Amino acid sequence: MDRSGRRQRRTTPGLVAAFASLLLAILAVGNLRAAETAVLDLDPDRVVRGQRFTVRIRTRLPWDDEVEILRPELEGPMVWWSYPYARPWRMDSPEGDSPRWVEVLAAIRVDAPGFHTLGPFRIRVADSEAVTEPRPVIGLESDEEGRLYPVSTAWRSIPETVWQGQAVPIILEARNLDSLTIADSTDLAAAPGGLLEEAPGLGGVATRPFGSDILYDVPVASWIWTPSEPGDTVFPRAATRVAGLQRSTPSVPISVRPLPEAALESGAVGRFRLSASLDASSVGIGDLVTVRVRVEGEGNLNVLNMPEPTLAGRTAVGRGSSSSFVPGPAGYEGWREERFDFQVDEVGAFSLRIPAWTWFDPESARISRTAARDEAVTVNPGGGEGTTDVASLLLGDGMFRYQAARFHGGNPYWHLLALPGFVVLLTMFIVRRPRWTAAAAVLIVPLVLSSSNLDADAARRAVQAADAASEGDWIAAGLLFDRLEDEVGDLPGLLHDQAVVEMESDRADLAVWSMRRALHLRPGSRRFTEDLEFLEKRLELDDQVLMPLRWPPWLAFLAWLVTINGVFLAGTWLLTHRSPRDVILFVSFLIAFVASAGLLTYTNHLWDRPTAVVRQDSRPLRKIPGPLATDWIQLRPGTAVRVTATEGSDSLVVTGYGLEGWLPSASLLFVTEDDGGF
Amino acid sequence: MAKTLRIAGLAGSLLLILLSSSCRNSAPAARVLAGNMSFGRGQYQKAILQYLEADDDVELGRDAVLYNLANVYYALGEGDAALRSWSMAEELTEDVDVLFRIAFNRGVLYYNWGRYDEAYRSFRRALVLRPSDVDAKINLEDSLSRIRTAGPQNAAGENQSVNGDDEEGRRLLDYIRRKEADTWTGQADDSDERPRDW
Repeated sequence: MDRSGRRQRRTTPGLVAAFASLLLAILAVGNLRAAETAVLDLDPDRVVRGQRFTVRIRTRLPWDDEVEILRPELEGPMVWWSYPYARPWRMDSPEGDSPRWVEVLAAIRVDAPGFHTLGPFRIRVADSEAVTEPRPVIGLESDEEGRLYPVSTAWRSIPETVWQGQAVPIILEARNLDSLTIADSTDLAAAPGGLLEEAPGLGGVATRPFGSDILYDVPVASWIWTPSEPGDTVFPRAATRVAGLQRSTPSVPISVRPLPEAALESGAVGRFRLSASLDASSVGIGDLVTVRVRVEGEGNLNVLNMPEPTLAGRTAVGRGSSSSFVPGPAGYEGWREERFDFQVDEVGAFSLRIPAWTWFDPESARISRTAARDEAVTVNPGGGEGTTDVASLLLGDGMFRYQAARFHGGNPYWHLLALPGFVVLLTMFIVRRPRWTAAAAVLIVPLVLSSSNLDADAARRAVQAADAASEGDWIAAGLLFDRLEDEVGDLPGLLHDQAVVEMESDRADLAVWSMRRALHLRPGSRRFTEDLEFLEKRLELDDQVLMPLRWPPWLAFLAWLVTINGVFLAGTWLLTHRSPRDVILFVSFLIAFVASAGLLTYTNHLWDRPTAVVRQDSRPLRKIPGPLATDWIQLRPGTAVRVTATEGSDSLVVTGYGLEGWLPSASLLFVTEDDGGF
Repeated sequence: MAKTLRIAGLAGSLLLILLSSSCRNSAPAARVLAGNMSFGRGQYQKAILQYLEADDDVELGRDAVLYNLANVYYALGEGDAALRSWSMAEELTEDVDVLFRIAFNRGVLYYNWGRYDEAYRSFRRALVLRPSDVDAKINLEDSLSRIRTAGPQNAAGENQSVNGDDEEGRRLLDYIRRKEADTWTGQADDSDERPRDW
């Protein structure tokens, strides 16, 4: 009884609500007219500026004298040429009956190119209504007749307000291209105030679908503009010829705000990070103290002033700069570095001051600042830390550990390893007979050890030379090394030390040649590689060609020996065992053998690739061989080059940065000579 | 003028070698072909090497090799060397096509150097060799026009060299102008059957 009573109380309001909803729905349906289909046609579907198109709407509303037409509000450059009116239309049917329906006609003029939208028409007859869908209308420029889409040019995101000195990227784009097209030409009507630099490649191509087509907005020209004076200015009009069309982009008013006074000295506008480095804090009298000040970030890296350090009140005796920045959305992105050289002719401790530096961030409109910094520089009567460092590069008597690499078959010991299965047999022997491990190891020792016939007298002279260099007497060191060379010949370790001495004697060509020759005779030596990098950096030889072979040749040879032994052993095994696993093993060894043989050949090929170093007294580079060639570019002494061909007394060389030209062979120190190999 | 200036095509000279080549000459001919391809791609140093290799081995057609080599020199801006190689090729050849190309290209080089009287003489020689060549005619006309407008500073030297030919040149120019009116439409037809208009 209780339960049924609760149910009844709960059900009654639900029924009332359902009834009310039904009633409302019936009323709403009563107010609605019957929706009929309507087909809207535009003729033509693309309209040239100033011309009109006809709108025809065919409905299935039965014809009546009372037709109500609600026309859409026309937007933009569309105007009614002829207001819509109704007339009957009929379609003949095979049955013979041909009812009359309502057709609406109108005409609209388009006064500007672009993508416009024609809103919905509402056509009512008695209780029925037909509504059309909104329809895009494409307006074309007068010179675009026959084209699909209107091509226009416009500035892409040009700012209304910029700051004085700001590097502003400005991109001009062609819009609505139906294919990727480059502009034939772009001309600015006038030069804007300040600095305007072309910045090709700025901005990307934007795409968007339109129906079944893809439309492209393509940057046709881009600049980095750096306004120098505050005030109201105008970025000039641009005339562009693209896709056979001539387009003009109107000028744009831009307000240039004055830079805050605090940032006027540096003129730096952007987001930056400042760093400074000192090459050596302890130098000898007369030595150069080099300070590098570097600004990284994004902004007007092209024009900003960098802080100028002073050493004990002195200004720099020499300076240089380098940079690497590219145009980006926030101006130039990358870094700029200034080098300041100081020279002190008195002993003592001095203070190097890098002054405070201020820049302005245009996005946050805030001033940022780095505090002034002081570094201590000590000038010694003898050599400074630089000289000590260089002397420590010398190998001394350790040079005899760096013998020339014996190439492949050139090393007599390796013949033992070439015996079929030797390595495998040796390994099995060691694994299965642990007590014989020591005996087996004895067999390996002569293979691993290189011939070491260290002459005590030569070693003593090497130590003497290193000591002389440590004391700053590089001339004596050089003489001792030269005498040593007469005794031991082309020893990589000796060449390494001679390179260090030549570097200190300002013979860049001999220094680079000796170090590279050492690396050529002993490829893959990490010590030599690091010292070559140090040496070339110190001689400011950038973009040098790399050493062709950068791994020890014995690695390739060892791989070849191991695989050839593996092939023999697996082949022997295969004579008595024919399981799939054995076949796979044999084939695997075979593939590894072929690969290692390829590596071996490639190693030898790299080793033989001729390289050379430009002599101190080199003739300038020329574009063609022969006596009639004119001088082109003077390469720096010590520049390492790849020699690609020789013609008569001239060599065709390629520098590390891809410059190709001819030099007399007499102007080159050849690193590669007939040194054996296979 | 610049539009009509051109380094005459290399294919013809290559064909010369290929057509006249025996088996012994096929390797140099292949090198010349490779050189021409390198030249076309802008790989001038590679082209030089290939031509020089061909020059070492070739027995027939050395004139064409030298001619091609000179073209690379010209492309690299080494005018003196180009002139020297063209002269060597000229001494070796009796082929009218090669001689015409050499004269034409030499004219282009002189024109670019501003030595219009020498350019004029070169184009004139080119037209003697191939009277129907329209480009040579246009360049000749342009060179003459430059000589006339060169002004007093050049007049002395140039007039001495050109004076003898001046009247003849003017007549030639007028004649060419009249002829051009007829031949522009048929310039693609460069066959030897055309009546000589020199």
